[in-house]
Amino acid sequence: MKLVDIIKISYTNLLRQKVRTLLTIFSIVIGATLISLVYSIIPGFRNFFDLQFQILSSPKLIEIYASKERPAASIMDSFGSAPQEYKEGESSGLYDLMLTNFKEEDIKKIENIKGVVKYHDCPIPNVEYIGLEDSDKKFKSNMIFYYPSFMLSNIKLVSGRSLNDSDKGKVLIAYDFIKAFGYQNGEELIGKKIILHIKQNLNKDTAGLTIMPTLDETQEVVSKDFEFEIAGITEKTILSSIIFVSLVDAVDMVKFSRNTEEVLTDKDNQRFFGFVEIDDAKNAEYIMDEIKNMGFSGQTYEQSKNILGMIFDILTIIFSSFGILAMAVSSLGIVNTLIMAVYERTREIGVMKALGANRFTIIKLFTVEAGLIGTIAGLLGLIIGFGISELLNYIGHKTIFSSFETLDISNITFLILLAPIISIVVSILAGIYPALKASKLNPVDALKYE
Amino acid sequence: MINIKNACKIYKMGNQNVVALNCVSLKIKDGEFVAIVGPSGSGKSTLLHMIGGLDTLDKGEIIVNGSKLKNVCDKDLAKYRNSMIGFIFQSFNLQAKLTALENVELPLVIRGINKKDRRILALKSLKEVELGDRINHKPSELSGGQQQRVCIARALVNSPEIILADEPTGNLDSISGENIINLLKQLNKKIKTTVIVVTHDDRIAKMANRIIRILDGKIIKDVQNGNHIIKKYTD
Repeated sequence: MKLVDIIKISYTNLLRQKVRTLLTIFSIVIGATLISLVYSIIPGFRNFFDLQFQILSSPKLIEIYASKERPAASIMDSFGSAPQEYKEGESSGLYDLMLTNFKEEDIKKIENIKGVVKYHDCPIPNVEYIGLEDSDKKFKSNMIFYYPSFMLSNIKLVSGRSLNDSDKGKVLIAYDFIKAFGYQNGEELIGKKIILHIKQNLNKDTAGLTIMPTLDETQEVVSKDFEFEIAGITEKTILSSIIFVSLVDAVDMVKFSRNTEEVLTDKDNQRFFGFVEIDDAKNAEYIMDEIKNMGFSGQTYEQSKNILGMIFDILTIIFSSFGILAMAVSSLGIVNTLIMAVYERTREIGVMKALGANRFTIIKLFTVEAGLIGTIAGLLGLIIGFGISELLNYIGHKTIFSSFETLDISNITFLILLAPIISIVVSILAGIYPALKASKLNPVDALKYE
Repeated sequence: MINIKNACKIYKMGNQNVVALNCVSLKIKDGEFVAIVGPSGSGKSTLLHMIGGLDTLDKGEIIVNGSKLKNVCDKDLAKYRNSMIGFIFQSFNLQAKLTALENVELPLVIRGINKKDRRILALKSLKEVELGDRINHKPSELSGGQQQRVCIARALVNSPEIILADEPTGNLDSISGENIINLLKQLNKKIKTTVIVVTHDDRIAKMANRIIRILDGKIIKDVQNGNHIIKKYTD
C-alpha cells in the first residue's frame, strides 16, 4: 500500500470518533506546548544573557583570586557531596578569601606569564548614594566599578565618549540614569557633575559587601562627596545602575572609605581579587593553569560563560522533562484510543486482510494513525507555545523588560521542531502496541467479530 | 486448478477440540462453479477460508495453480489473497464511510495501484455488476442486493482466478438473491473465473456445475449437478 493511501485511510479513521480523537490530541498538546515554551523562552533569555555577558566581560579577561580556591567554588562543590577530607595546607572555610591577598611580587610574576598583557586591580568603592548637581534626587548604588579601557570598549555608548584608564574625575554612567535624573536624552547629561557620596566606616569596607558589617553607633560618621564629570552614557544593560570610574578615582574613594593609604599595596588586606588582561583568548586556558600553579585561583571568560550556559541547560532539561513527562502520560491516552479502535474495527481489519493487507500494512495503518495524532498535537502545541511566548514577550516588553530590546523570549530557531518531533516519536511509540495487536488478529476470527 | 490433499483443521473451543476439517481431499478445476453445502458447523466455511488463505491447515496441503499454500509467509499469503482470490461475504463487509467506488478500489489501494488506474478498474468492475450509476453512493444508501453487487465488484476488481463466496444470498430477499446468483453464474461463464460458493440456498446449488456436501468436516458427497438431486444436498 502506498504511504499516501495509508495516511489518507488513517486520517479518515481518526475522523470517525472526532471527540475521542480531539481529547487524545489535546492531552498531547499540553506537553508539546510546554516543550515549545521551554525552547522559545529559555533560549531567548540565554541569548540575551550571553549578549550581556559579551558586553560586560571579554574573552581576553581572566578574573583571578589570591586564594587557592575560587570564593564560593568550595561551597558550590560541597552541595550534594559528602564531607570532604581536610588536607594540611589546603584552603578551607569562608574566611580564607579574606586572609589571602595579592602582593606586588605576585602581580609581577603573573604579568611575566607569556601572553599576559597586564594585571588590573579591581578596587570597588562603597558608595552611599549617587546624586546629580542641581538635583535633589539620590539613588542607591553598589555598582561603582573600575573597568580597564579594553573592556569598556565593548560597551556601546548612547552619548559622550568612553573612559581611558587615566581619566581622572570622569565617569561613564548607565543608560537608566537619564530617565532617573529626569532627562529626555543622554546628551543633556554630558558634562554635568555627578556626586558619589561615600561614608567612611572603619568597620565596613569593600569586603563589607561579602561579610556582615559590625555597626558601632558611637563611631563618628565622616562622609564626603566625590564629584565627577559625566563623560559618557552606556547603552542599556542588565546592570542598570552601574557607574564606571577610572582606576585612580576608584582607589581614591576606597582609600577614603577605609581611611587608609594601604589600598593596593603589599599591606592591603583586601587585595584578593583582580583581572588579568591577555593577548589572545586562545591562551586563556594555559595562562589560567599557570596562575593556578602559582597557588591562586580564577576563572576564564569561557568558564564563566560555560557556567551561565550550564544554568540554562539545567533549566531547559528540567522544564522539557516536565513536557516530556506530560507527553508520556498523554501517550497512554493514545494507547487507549487505538486499542478501542482495534476493537471497533476488528471486522474491518479482517476485511482488509481478506482483501490482501498483510500484517505490516495493518501495523503501518495504526502507527500512522498514532503518528497523525502526534503530528497534529505537536503542531498545535508549537503554535500555542509560540503564541504564549509571543504574548509573554509582548506583555514583558510593555512592562518588566521594556528597555531590553534585545531580549526576545519568543525566540524561534530550529528547536521549534523539537515539540512536534518529540510528540510524533512518543505517539508512534504509543501506537506500536495497538498496531501489533491489530496485526496479529486472525482474519477468520476478525471477520466473525460482532 | 485447486488441489486439496488430506486437509485437517482442529479448532479449540474452550477445553474441547472441534474437528472442522477431517482429512478432506478435493480437486477443483479452473472455471468450475462449485457449491459447497452442508449444515451449520459442518466445516464448509473453514474449507473456504483455507482455500482463500485466511487460515492455515494443521495437516495436509492446498495447492493452487501449482503453488502450495503451506509454509507461505504472511506477506506472500496476503499477496495471494489480493491477486488470486476475490471474497464475497454474507454481510457484504463494506466500509460504511466509503462510497461504492472507494469500496471497490480498496483491493487496488492495498495492491499499491495509482489513483487514476484504480478508478478506471473500479468503474469497470462496478459497470460489470450494473452499478455504474451508483458509484458515489455510500453502502447505507444502497439496497442489500446493490451492496452485495458492490461486494462482487470489489471481489472482481483485481481479476482474481478464484471467487470465494460465503453465503452470498444469506442476507438478501429472494429477488435480490436470484439476481446475485445469476450475476455470479454469468461472471463464471463470461470471465471463466472459478467460483466456489458456500450456501444453504438451493437456487445456487441448482446453478452450480458441482455440489460438494460436507458433514462433520468430511466430504460425504461430491456430485456433478443435476436438477433431480438438488433437494438432497441442500438444507
